[in-house]
Amino acid sequence: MPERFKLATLLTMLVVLFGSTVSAQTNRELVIATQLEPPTLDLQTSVWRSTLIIAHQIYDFLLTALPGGEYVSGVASDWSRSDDGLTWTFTLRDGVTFHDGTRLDADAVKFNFERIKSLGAAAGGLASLAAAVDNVQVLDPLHVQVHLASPYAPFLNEVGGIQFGLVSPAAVAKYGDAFAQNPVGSGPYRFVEWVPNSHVTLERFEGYAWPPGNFEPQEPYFERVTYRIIPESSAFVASLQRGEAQILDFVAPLDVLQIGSPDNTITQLTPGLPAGYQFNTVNAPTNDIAVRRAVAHAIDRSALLQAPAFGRGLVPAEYTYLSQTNWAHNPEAFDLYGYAYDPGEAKRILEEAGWTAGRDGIREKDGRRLELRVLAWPAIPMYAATDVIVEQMLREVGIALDIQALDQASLVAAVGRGEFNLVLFSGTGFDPDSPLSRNFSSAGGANWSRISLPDLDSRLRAAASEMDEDARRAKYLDIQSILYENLPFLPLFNYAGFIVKSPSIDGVWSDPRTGFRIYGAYLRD
Amino acid sequence: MIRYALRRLAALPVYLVLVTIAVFLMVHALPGDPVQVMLGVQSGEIDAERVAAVRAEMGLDRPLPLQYARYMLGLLHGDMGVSIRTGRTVQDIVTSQWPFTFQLALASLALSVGLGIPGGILAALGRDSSLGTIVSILTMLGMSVPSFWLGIVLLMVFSYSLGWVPVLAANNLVGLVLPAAALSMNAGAAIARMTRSGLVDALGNDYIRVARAKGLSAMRIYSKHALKNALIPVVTLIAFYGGYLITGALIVEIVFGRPGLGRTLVSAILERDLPIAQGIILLAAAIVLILNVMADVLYSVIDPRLRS
Repeated sequence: MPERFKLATLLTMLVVLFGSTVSAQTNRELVIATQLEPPTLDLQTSVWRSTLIIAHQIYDFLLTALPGGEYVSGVASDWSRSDDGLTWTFTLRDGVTFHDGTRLDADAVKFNFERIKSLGAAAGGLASLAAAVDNVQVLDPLHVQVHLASPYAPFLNEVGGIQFGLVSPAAVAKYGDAFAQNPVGSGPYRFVEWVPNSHVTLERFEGYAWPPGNFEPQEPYFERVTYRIIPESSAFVASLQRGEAQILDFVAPLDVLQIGSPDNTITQLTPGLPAGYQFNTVNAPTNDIAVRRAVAHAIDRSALLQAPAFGRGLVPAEYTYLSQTNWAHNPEAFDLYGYAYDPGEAKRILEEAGWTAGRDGIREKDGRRLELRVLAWPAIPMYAATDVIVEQMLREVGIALDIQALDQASLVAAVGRGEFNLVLFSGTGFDPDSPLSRNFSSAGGANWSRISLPDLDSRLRAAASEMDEDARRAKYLDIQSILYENLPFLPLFNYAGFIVKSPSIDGVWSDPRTGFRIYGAYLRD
Repeated sequence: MIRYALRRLAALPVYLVLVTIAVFLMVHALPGDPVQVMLGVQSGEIDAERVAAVRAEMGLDRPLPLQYARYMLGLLHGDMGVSIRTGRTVQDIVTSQWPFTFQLALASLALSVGLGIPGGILAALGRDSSLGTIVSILTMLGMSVPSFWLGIVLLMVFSYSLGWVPVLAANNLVGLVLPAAALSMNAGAAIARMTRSGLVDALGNDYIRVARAKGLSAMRIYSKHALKNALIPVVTLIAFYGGYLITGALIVEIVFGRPGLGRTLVSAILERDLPIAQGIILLAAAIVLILNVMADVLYSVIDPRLRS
């Protein structure tokens, strides 16, 4: 026994000795815990939230789009559009520099537009902006003109969006491909270190004086910001409870129930297409519109959102084809198009379409059972819960579900091959064009329902080039009613993310699109 | 003996080539497309046009034998490929991650040998007393408890409740204690059981009786005669677990939020980041092979009968 005893004592002593010193830190340091490793810190190539939450402190934007269609200044203090909608002129703030000391002037802005054009498919969410830009002209060091190939209504939205952070041309030249691991922008925090699977460290950029227009100019409170990457959810949650982290990014609703309270939780709704069922409109039996409509009537959304996986009502419901954070969202759509929870109506629709009750309560038509194949996402708790709860609800009206649990990569492949009737989906995008065109135009890259309506295609194109805001909004409302009528997709709820912070932290600006900025954050006494 | 060692070493490259083929086929047999995964599944989005464009850019649309040939050609030049997801070279990732896994494996090995061998000796010495029974029960438990479960329990007790160790593991000695304890439990228990049974067997042999009859001290009998024989199978076991500690690190690394190769491998497989998965599996396989050859050679040092 003596060896064991000695060792145990020694270990305990070590733990006590080092344990206390390690947890000590300056109170001007902010620790943010996240479960996902960012793939890159080159914002222009990534729409991943894990990139955004870090990169939004490192880069500045020409301007920032706020919900409701407003814009506030960024590095550009002013901007204007020509009458034909083809030319945009930006006036830049004077004296803005990147972290490497080089100037952020009209040449740098031109470089950034040209960079996203040269990135091609790698530009991710910026690909449509890149395609719309024809050429960029430097008027003088503080004025730059962007010429478009054709009128492109989402222009300002994309420029002031979540991905077009301005990079330092000198740093891109210096690091080449390694820029993704050595990001240089002009934002309030500069990059210090990234140890993969461990942490990313940022430091205050001394002399930063050009915050976005929605902030009071001031010196950032926190000197040092560390993002700790903690995949295991119990350790992730415990880090806030133990005071080792002050902000947890993207907490599951079930954990929010445990550690969250109204004053320390920030709810974010992913803008764009809400989460819902993508119907396969080609494969039987969901090629039958009656079946799709019956499913819509048979699902009790409010009951669904009371499930623990949804934090018992923490996730807001959504009934249209655009998230409620979107400016073209139509709050009355649910009443207008009427897919209210009504199992009786669902049964009636199915009877009328010839689906009659079989022996085990599941309906049949021409000897075919009414069974829908569902592909279930792993690792998204809200999605997993939805499939299981909906299975019960659909059984009530005589529809069976065949739920296939796959890992993510296999699921994505199966969706690509069309081997499903139902699969949960959402689509991000601040401007309505991106999620709607990608998902519902016949040539759209994410058109997994395989819907093909020439009328819808031409309306989507017309809406994207309409420059008048009110007329554009009306066009999207029409498009949403066409979608409701044809039902390639059934919206169910907002894809919601939760940020839980220590009650002593104030001033975190939650970007309604995704992520947050800590420029104005401080520790309350 | 040297010729024996050389013969074993000479077979290594052949094994390694076979391993590359097996690993390459296994990794490519995984269903799913790395590019689709990379381009965004966070909230359930898939975009076919972009996927096709990126696939072509990366050469993933070429036939498999061609891809393998390119991969091997690269390997021979010391180029293990580039991560699909991050664009970093595999060497870069391995270089940044291996020290963490190596530290953890080394600490766990030290802990499992340091606890396992004395534990086994204790159990053998006290085999007829309650002490032996207690040690046996403990080792039984140690072998059956999965390391990820033990990891979470240790974390909850020592970090969360007692607050002795930070939840967010620091990359220092303190941060190493709990993960090493969780990871070493299985191997330590196995080593203890093997040591005990080897020692009990050895103690029943005639030469021990002779040694006793000669009047040698108990200490000398155990250390010089019994233990040396009992440890032969333990050496193989340690070599075996040396490989396990590297691959077993993957779950412990995730539980404790430590960086390392194991954790990188798990995300690489889930994200179908094939070059990284290939590189790390190949590395792990090479380490296990080398450890096994080393064990064989060491075996012949301990057991002279194998030298001829």
